[in-house]
This record gives sequence, C-alpha cells and structure tokens, in this order.
Amino acid sequence: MKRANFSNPWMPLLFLLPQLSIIAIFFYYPAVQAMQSSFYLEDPFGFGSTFVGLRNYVETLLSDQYRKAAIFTVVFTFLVSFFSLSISLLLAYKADKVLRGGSTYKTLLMWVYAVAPPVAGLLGVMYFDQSFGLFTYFVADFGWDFKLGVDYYDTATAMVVVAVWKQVPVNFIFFLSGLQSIPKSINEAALIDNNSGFSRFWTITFPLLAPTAFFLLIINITYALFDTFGIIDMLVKAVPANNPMTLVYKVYLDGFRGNDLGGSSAQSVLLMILVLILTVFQFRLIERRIHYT
Amino acid sequence: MQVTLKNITKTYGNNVQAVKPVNLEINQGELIVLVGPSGCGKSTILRMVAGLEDITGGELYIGDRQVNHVDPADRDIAMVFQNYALYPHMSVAQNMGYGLKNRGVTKDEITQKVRDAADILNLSEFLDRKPSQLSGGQRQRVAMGRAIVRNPSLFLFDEPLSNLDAKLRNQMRIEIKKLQRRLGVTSIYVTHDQVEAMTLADRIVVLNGGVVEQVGTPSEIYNNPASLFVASFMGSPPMNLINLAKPVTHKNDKNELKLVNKLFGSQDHNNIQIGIRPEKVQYTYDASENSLPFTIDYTEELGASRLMHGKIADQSFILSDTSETEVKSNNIHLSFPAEALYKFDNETGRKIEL
Amino acid sequence: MTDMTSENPVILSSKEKPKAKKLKLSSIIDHSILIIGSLFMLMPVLMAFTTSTHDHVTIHKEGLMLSIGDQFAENYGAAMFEKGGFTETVDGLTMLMNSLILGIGFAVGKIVISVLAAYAIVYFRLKFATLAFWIIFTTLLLPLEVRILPSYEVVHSFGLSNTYTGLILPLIASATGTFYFRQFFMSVPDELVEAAKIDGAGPFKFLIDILVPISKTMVAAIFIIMFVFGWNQYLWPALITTDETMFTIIRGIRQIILAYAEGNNIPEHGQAMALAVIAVLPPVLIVVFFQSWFVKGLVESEK
Repeated sequence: MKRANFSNPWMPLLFLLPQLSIIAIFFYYPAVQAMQSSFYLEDPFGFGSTFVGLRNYVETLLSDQYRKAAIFTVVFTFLVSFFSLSISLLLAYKADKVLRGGSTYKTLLMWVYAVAPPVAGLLGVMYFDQSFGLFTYFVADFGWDFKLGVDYYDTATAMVVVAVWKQVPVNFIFFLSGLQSIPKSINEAALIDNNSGFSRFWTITFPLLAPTAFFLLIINITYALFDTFGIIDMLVKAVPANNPMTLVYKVYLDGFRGNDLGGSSAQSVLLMILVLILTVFQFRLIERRIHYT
Repeated sequence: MQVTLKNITKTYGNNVQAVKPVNLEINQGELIVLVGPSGCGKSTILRMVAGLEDITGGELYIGDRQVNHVDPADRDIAMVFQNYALYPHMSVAQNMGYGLKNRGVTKDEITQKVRDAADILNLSEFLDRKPSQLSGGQRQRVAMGRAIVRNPSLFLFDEPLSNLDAKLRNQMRIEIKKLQRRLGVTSIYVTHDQVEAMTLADRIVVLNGGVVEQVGTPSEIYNNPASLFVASFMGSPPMNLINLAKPVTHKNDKNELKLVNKLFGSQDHNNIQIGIRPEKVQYTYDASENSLPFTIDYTEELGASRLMHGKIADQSFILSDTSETEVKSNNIHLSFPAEALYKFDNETGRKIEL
Repeated sequence: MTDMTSENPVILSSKEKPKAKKLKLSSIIDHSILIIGSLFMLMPVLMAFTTSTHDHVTIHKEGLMLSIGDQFAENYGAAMFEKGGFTETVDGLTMLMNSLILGIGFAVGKIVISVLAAYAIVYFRLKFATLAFWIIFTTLLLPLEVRILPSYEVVHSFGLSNTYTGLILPLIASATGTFYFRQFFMSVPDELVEAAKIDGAGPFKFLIDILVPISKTMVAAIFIIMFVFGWNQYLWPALITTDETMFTIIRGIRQIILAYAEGNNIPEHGQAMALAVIAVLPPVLIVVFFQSWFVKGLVESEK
C-alpha cells in the first residue's frame, strides 16, 4: 500500500470484483473440488461416489507406475535444468562479451521463446522419428538404433533435448540482463586485479549472478514439471504406452484417459503440495536475495 | 490569506507522535520556512496543511475556514514537490493546465492562463515539450508554473530545490523569492537547508523531534537562538558550544575547563553550555588576562574567510577569520566579547538570559 | 613500471604480443560458440520451413530438406484454406482466427482485470487489503496444469465447453498480471497521486488520466508476454474444445501427431510443417519486433 491513497470505500471493491470472482469460480472452486474428490472413489459407470479416506493417496504412492513417473520427473527436471542453465549461461556470457553482433546474437538466441511447446515437440518428432528423423539417420551410422516412442531411454533423451531447446531462451534473457546489470566499473576493477578470464568469471561474475541463477533454477524446475506437457504429448504421439512421462502428464492421463477421478485428484493434490514446498523455498531465496543487494 | 494552526498534532498508527502540538499564525503574503533535520515533522506539518495527511488533533484554518476535513483539491492551495511530480506523459502545457481542467475551466481560459504563467517563468518556448525533454531547472519551473497557474491562496513548497545542483539552487532560490513577492501569495516552504531558510524566509520555524523550537525572523533566529538545538542547527559553520559539565580525564583538559569556567564566571551553575559564533571570537598572539590559549589543528581556506579548527577542553572549536593575513603561529590566544556569548541550560536545552 | 620497461624491454614486448593474439583467438572462440548456439536454436524451425516447401513424396523419400522446394504455395495454401487435411471440418485460417481470439482475449482480459485489482490493492485504504492480497496471490502457486481435471469438470458443468469464454476465463484465473502491475504501481512515486489530488483528480480520473497513460510501456510488455502465453496454450484448449471449428492452431498441431500415430495414410509432411510454421510465425514475429518491450516485461515481471 502507498503512503498516499484514496479512502473511497466502495470503489476498490468494484475494482477487485472481476479478479476475485474469476479466481473464486475458476481457481478456488476447482482446487477445493480436487481436494474433495481425492478422498472419494468414483463409480466407473457414474453412479455416485464413495468416501474412501486416504485410499487414493496410498494407492497412488504405492503404485509402481507412479513411482516410475516420479523418478523420471526428478531426473528429467534435473537434466533439463542443468543443461538449459549451463548452455544459456555460456551463451549469455559470450553474448555480453563480444564487441560486435551482440544484439543479433541476442535476437537469434531468444526468439524460440515464442515457439509453442507442442510445436517444439512436433519438430522433435521430425528430428528423432524412427523412419525419417535426421538425428536417427545420423546416429544410425554409429550403430545407435534410435527408437522414438519405443525405447524408453531413447524417448527420454529426445524429451530432454527438446525441453532444453525450448527453455534456453528464457534463461538466456535473464542471464544476459543479469550480466548487463553488473556495473562496468566492477568488471574493470576485476580486469585490473585478475589476469585470467576464466578465474575472473568464477570469482567475480558468477557470484554476482548467483541470485539470478537461484531464481532461474526455480523457474526451470517449474517449467520442467508443468510446461513440458506439450512436448511430451507430441513426442509420445499421444500414445503414452510404456514411454516415460512426467507427473503432470500422469494426472492428465489417469484423469481423462483412465477415468480415475479420485486417483488423478490425489495426484493433483500431491503436486500442489510439491509446488507449495517449492514456493516456500523460493520465498526463502527471495529473502536472501534482499540481503545480497 | 491567513493560515492558522491551533494545537495541530500528528500521531501515526504505531503511536509515534510525529508532531507535538504546534501553534502558528501565518500572515497574509508571508513566506514561512519550516526547517529542521529529517524526521523533525516539518514535511508532516506541510502535508497536513495540504490535506495529504490526516490531522490527528487540533484545528487548521485557511482564512476563516476550518479545513481539517476538506479535500486537498478544495483547499485552494498549490504544492511544489521535491521531485516535481510532473505527469510524465503530458506536455508542459497539459501539466500546468490539468488542475484547471479538473475544475471545469474553459479551454480558452486554460490556454490563456497557462500562457501567462509560462511568460512569467520563461517557459513559453517549452510548452509543447514533455518533462523528460527538459533540464532539472526547467522541470522545477514547470512545477512552479503548475502551482501559480491556478492562482491559489496558499503555496506549499516541499524541499523544491534539493534535486538541483548548487549553482542552480541559488539561482532558483532568488527566483522563488521574487515570484512570491510579486504574487504576494502566502507560502509555506519546507527545507532542511538552513541557508535556504535564512535567505528565503520572512519568518523561520525551527523544528526538532516534532516540537517547534523557535519561531522568528532570520536575524532573530541567528542572533538570538532560543535553544541549544537552534544554536547548533542554524549557521554555517555552527555556533561553538562548550559543555561545562562534560567529564574530562586529561589533566590539561581539566585545567582548560576550569579556565573557561572562571572566564565566564559560572561557578554557581555548572550544568550549562557556553556558546559563541565562530566569527565573534577574537584572537591575539600574546596571552592577556581574559584569554584562553588555543592550538590550531588545521585551517580551512574558504576564500572570503578562513576557518581554524582546534579543541577547547576536548571539545571541537572553530573560529572564523575574515582578515586577509594568515595567522603567523598555530598557538594563539582567544578572547570572547561578553555581548557575543550565549548560555544554555543542559537539562532543558533552553537559553538562559544573561 | 618505467624502470621495468627500460630494463627488460624484450621480455615485456614478447609478453605483449602473444596477448594480442590470444585476444583475437578468444574472440574467434566466442563468436564460434555464439554461432553454434544460434544455429542450434534456428535450425529446427528453419528446416521445418524448408521442408514445408516440398511435396510429401519427396519428403517421405529423402527426409527433412534443407533446400527450398517448389511446393510453397500448394502446401501453405492447403494448410491455410483446405478443410480435411488433418482436421475434417476446419481450415488453417479458422484455427488462426481462434488462436488470435484466444491470444488477444486472454491478454486484454488479463490486463484489464489485473490493472483494476492492482490499483485497488495499491492505491486504496482497504480494510481487508491483506486478505485480498493473499486470496489473489495464492493463485500464483498452482498452475492450471495441476488443477486441470477439476477445472475441466467445473467449466464443463457450466456448459462452457467449446466456447471462447470457457477457453479464456480459466486461464485468466491467476494473479501473474496483478502481481506484475502491483510491483509497477508500487514503484510509481507517491507524489504523483498527491499532485493529482491537489489538481482535483479523484480515484477514477487519476487511473484514467495518469496511471494508465504512464503504464503504457508496461502494458505493452505484458501484452506481448500474455499474448504469446495465450496463443501457445495447448492442454487446456485440447480438453475444452472438442468441436473442430473451435480449434486453435496449436490445438490443430495435435491433429497432425494423431494422424501420424494412426498411420492410416501417408502423412502429409509438407502440409504438417507448413501448419507448424504458420503456428509459430505470429508470436515469433511479435517477440522479435517488440524485443525490447518483451525483454523488459519478462525481466521486470519476475523481479
């Protein structure tokens, strides 16, 4: 709130009304529904539902498929975050450093932000497809029989590569703006104090970028968890079978394909808890970020 | 228009009393300067007069009308802000005319009034520019223009010059003074800069910790400070103050303190401070009966005058010398003309009449 | 330093020369890395375009193409105007229109609602301001993907399936925009409201005359981000639109993959790639042309 404000009593309510009503109907109501139905078992023929307590949760957590998806999600998230962060940090550092062509590189490296994840997935299919994929041809020469959608690890590889490709621009933009906000005088002072560019980067530049990197880590985890749906759906050609899948994909799959409303809702709630933990973590980081500055 | 503050107070939500009861009568056409360190309540008082801050207690009159609960727009005031608060998306003319437009003044009249105000402030050629295309001094003038175009009965200035560089500040100070004289509009001006206060004011209100320390003309304030705070705040360099009650350990300091005590004949009441303006101190090379030995630690050359820094009884002491010749020795003897001395009570902080 | 030069001039000069060379070499390396990175980003879409200009027999035989073929007009024409390629009752143009409605509707709706809500939170003395703040900002925690099933049930039960309202409103139900504008409004100097108050502007006038105009670039930046976000939506449109005439172009992309998966007839690779290029072109052009606004909006909004 501001020091200077208006004290009109009804106007702010009027202004808040659209936001609050949309949130109430399309956010809180469904969220509460999810929590509620996670405790019920829906009759497959639609003849009502019975309260089953925590059974949906227990079944979910005990199921092999869920555990498999959970492990894949963790590994996938780690790999996507790691590769997209390191690649974009390298590119941002170089783009900040070069004297010429910096803005051209910037454009070339960021525009993919606007490509929809499913389109990225489709392009991925073109590259990794079993019958005519460019990548498949290429690795076949080395004896790698790449089978997208058939071999678990091959499919996972394709997912990681496409997800990294799609995420590099966002990280690049943030890293570059982080680098550009480092005062020139600091770089100049470092140039006088330290002769090695490599050691300059790790002792001066990187620590100053650490808040950006922490923050991006959270962004990347959220991305890998939720925003990769389109990529995954495309790469498995909407036929999940035994392919790797993330937890979000499984929520969708069990809910819409498997008609397991209770189980899917329980999974939703588990994801909500995961996001809450991430958020608490993030708030802590933000607090620390204030200390940095 | 006359402005009257009767027992005005301000208490914030956390029970901090930012302004203790203030009484003030401002005469028609007078320029009053509220001065004090940051947090002294000067801006709060101004903002209460403007209606930007609620008045916790007391009564505020503009003219004969009590305005405690009147909207800022209806108080017939205009305000110049420290950061000018120009609307960045509007041209200079639109900025100046916005208040008139909201009051339903016709377009032609607005144009005319804006043109007149721009003439006075030498802004005529900038009327179509945006604030971002102006220099700091020009923006300041637009802010002034926005105030005068409405022809209000009270001007409020909230540190309007502190975002300008020193040279421009001096220039604008004179312009503001001239303009205020010419328009004859009652004005309240807030600043933390005591030089600004001295040069601009008809009367100065010195504030400290939400309390009015003294109200008076600049020369009254300077020559007859009512309290320790006023004495030390107004004047550059500030008045020398020697605390006779200060505990000193060094033998030499003890002796000096005794000497000072004897000089001022104040054995009867020790809990006081002695004050003297740096330019009133006289020095000789030889000791005399009523002189105090003084060692100059360092000298600041200001051109028109020279400031010599040293210590008396372990308390910093400055003397200001306007003579053209430099001192020949760093060891001199000071004497204090009786009529230039001030005595202050350590406990109340008030001046003791000699 | 001068001493050193006079004593060891040889050493110094020999030290300096390789350094100059090293500098050149390092800048060559820098550019190589950046060029490789740019190609990595560019090639997939570029090859999608070049491939989309060939007929499907060629593509089927030779895979992705790097040369530009002669089927540009045919493939793009078919993708844009022909019904019954991958979808049965809708052409590319209709899907583009739907995407445009989703993108613009989402962005405009979100901005209007967020500006109003942020204005209420920042500029008014509100008794339950903290409560409102938390009610709104809790929504930042849970993306639509997490609550997708119940959201679908709710929207469906309102009979909003296959409507623009059902498509757009649930996507708006999060506080990203409100949070963004709140941050921006907080950074607007207090004196501006005070000056406006003295100038006789009430809350409504201040919003229209002053706050909205000075937020122009911010609005533009957030519009770009929101438009791209809306345009690129996939899961939600896939669930809520079953009527093909309501398909967005991104939703249409899904039909391609379904056609592949079924594998009944030879896939129309050329047309598929053409549709993909059409689907990415509008958001990419906006992001590239309004790059500075977009970058500013993205970086500022996440602060």
